[in-house]
Amino acid sequence: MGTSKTNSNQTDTKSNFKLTPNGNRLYEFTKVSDEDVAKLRVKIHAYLV
Amino acid sequence: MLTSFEHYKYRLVKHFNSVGDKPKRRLYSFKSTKSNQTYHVWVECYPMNFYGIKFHLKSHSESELKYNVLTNLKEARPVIFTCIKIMLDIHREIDNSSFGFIGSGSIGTLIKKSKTGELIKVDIDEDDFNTKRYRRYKQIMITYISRAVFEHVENIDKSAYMLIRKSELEKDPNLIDKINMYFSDTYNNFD
Repeated sequence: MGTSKTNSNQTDTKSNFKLTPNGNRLYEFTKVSDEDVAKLRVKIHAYLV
Repeated sequence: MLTSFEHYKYRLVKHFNSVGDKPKRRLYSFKSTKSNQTYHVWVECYPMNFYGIKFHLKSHSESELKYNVLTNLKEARPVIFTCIKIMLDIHREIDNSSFGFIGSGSIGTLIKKSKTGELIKVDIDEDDFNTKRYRRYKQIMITYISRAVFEHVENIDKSAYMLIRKSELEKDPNLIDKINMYFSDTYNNFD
């Protein structure tokens, strides 16, 4: 009965974020992917730069 | 679809030196020809040649909610475009610059037309996650700023978006992590 605490599907909310070496919460950034761009339905790119 | 790039004439008002925990800043100003309202654009200069862009109505300068208040002036597009033009001036002036901004959560009453054409009021109080402003800024950035020149990176939880110059990333592949680390350590609220 029950689920092992080591089950990888379990979510430990305390470990959902990383800390900086100074002990502050690290706000991680992710690259905007081609998939993200496709979702935005940007059909015309009018690059200024 | 965003195809034209209409913006207002702007001017650099003043350079401010770093004071206390406030970074070195530049203040730009422009006036909307539609609403006759004056806007302030703040460009904050951080380490690693990172520039944060913020704007608000001049009349809201003393408000703690100046970046959150809904103006209902219906002129977001030319205002955002003016901020982008200012950003591009710095891009040309400082060839190792990178940029960032936050789409602040909206607070206030939105006045919009219903399906029947009637004007209705909707109270809004957004948190930081994937805000309406953020979604709009992101679409504009994807449309106008090439991912060949800038790496587009985001934190949806905080509605934060960064344009990291690729030529600088090639010199320092850890640049994004370093900028993240700086802001995470320096600004608890990341705003």
